[in-house]
Amino acid sequence: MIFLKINMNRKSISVEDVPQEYAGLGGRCLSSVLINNEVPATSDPLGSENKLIFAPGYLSGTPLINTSRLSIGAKSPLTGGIKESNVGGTVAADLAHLGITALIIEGAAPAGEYYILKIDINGDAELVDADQHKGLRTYALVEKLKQTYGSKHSITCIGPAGEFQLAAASIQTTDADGRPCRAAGRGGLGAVMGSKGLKAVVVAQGGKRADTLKDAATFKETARAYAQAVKADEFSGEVLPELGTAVLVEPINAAGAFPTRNARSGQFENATKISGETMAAMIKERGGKTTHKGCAGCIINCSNEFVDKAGAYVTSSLEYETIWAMGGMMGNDDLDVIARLDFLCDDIGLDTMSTGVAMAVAMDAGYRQFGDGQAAIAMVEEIAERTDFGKILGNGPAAVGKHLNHERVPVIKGQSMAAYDPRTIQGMAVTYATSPMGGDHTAGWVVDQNLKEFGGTLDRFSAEGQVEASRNTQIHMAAVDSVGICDFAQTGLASPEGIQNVYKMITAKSGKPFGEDDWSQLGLKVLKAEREFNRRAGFTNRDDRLPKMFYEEPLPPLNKVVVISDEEMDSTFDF
Amino acid sequence: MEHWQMRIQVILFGTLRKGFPDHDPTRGFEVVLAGGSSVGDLLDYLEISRSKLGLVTKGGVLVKADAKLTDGDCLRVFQPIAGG
Repeated sequence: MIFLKINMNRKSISVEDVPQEYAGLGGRCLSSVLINNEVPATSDPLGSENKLIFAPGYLSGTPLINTSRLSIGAKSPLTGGIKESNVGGTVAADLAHLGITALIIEGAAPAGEYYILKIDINGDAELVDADQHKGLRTYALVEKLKQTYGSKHSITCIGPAGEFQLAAASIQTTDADGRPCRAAGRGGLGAVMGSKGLKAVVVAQGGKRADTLKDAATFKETARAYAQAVKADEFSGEVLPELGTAVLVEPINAAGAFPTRNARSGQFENATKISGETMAAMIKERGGKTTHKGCAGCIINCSNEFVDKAGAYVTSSLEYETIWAMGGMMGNDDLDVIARLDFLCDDIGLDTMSTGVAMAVAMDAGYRQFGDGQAAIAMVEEIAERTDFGKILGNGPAAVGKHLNHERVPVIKGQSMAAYDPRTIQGMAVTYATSPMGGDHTAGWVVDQNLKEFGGTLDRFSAEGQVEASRNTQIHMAAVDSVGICDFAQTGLASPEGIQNVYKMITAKSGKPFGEDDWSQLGLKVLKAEREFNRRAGFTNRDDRLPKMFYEEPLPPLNKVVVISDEEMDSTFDF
Repeated sequence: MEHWQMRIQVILFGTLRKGFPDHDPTRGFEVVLAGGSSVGDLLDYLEISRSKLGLVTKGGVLVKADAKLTDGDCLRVFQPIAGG
């Protein structure tokens, strides 16, 4: 249980035992509390006062399945507020196996200097000059680093967009096959990593220094029961392995909630061409993989390997949010174009959501035509080429809207919405508006509760109950992101004994009692730290609002607007 | 039960298609039901249990199990969804 502190001003590395005030924290809770305590809220996100935290979840590296989740935190250059961006792959398990509770990157190297942080199998770390790797895209970088250090390493890195310190820059990390296709996309944290002068973190796999479990027998027995529940669930046990998250395209579109052509419609007439069902059939016919393991310890295998007509690798994994941002949102119905754009974003180191929505805004403003896939590919390449427009596009949708003097920009706290239109799922309006993260779907996904017609509890067009649902889900998700359980493995929580099993495993690891109240307190601790930071950074209630397009423009074909009042938004959190 | 019959087009999504070899990916298949049948009757006829059911839409609108069907309706049937 150690913090590895890397000072990029002095190029020094120190190891310290986790201080008492952070004991027992992991993932998002640890990163957000650390940032709130140690980063001046009004500091420049790309300056030396900001800190970049890499924290595995509290249960990462344990025998529990689907827990290789890494929280990356910092003050965000995109939102100006606190940010936690959550990513899978293998690195969280590897850091946890080395007994590393967090990497804390402080200071900043002189402009133009880049380093690699190398952590070996004993947990010993060093900074290595990375001048020769400057400017490399992520796939080429990972190949070179694997040649130097061997393939049994997780590599977490930035591409050109991170080096250029663009606000849509991602941090990419390697999947179970060693490809840099897993993205901590949101919040522009790739720019923070670039500002520090850190090109990559290379972590040895197979460490033997994981935290000791106080009651290993109970932990293992409970972890087995949890895994069985995840396997037995139809969504995580059958649907996700077969179709991946792309299975959401058809139902969300059918429900009139699939934001299309910069959210001018809630239905895309060609959704079937980019659906999960169509994609799976195409991948199978071409010889790619529909059931693919992306992350260490995963038993769901929701990932896929998309191949071209000749059967050659294009990208992994094509996900719902990317298919939406690069597809429906831009009016593009060509899956091959979407796959190419996904690869380019991973390779250049860009968030597919911010980049796709930024292009949708440009198209909406008439800069390019909706549906022009080749124009989209050329625009993304402009980011890597650092053209004048590429620099604007790489800073996300708000920057594009400002440049083109276009008002219809679907961002909240500077970050784009996700693939659920809040006008036809009102609870998502509350989550987008009030999450300390800005526009974000994972912070409080209340889509299922809103499908009252079939088992949900809420009328999706009404404000009633939406604040409470979003609040409770945001608290719950803050806890989930802190213990490091994959969002999709939450199916193991569905039964009463499911969540009890999580409490039991936390107790079995820590040796301290943990129950329902502690779970809520954990989630609240995260949100309180995040909202406190944002307040000190200058955010007020007026930032907990959606752009006016969502209140004023009825969304076809159901012609609904957001009906959650400002007072209701403000009642979500009383801190 | 009324004595006339009606034709309903059904498109299944996700892994619900398994077990229906005649299902066309874009057009689904046609089912003939007794007049006056509901969405629930259709699901019973297809032997799709409620636990496997997420939502049913007709013309872009969610419909409940007790909604009555009319001749020529096209229904889209989805599994429960989770996640993000």
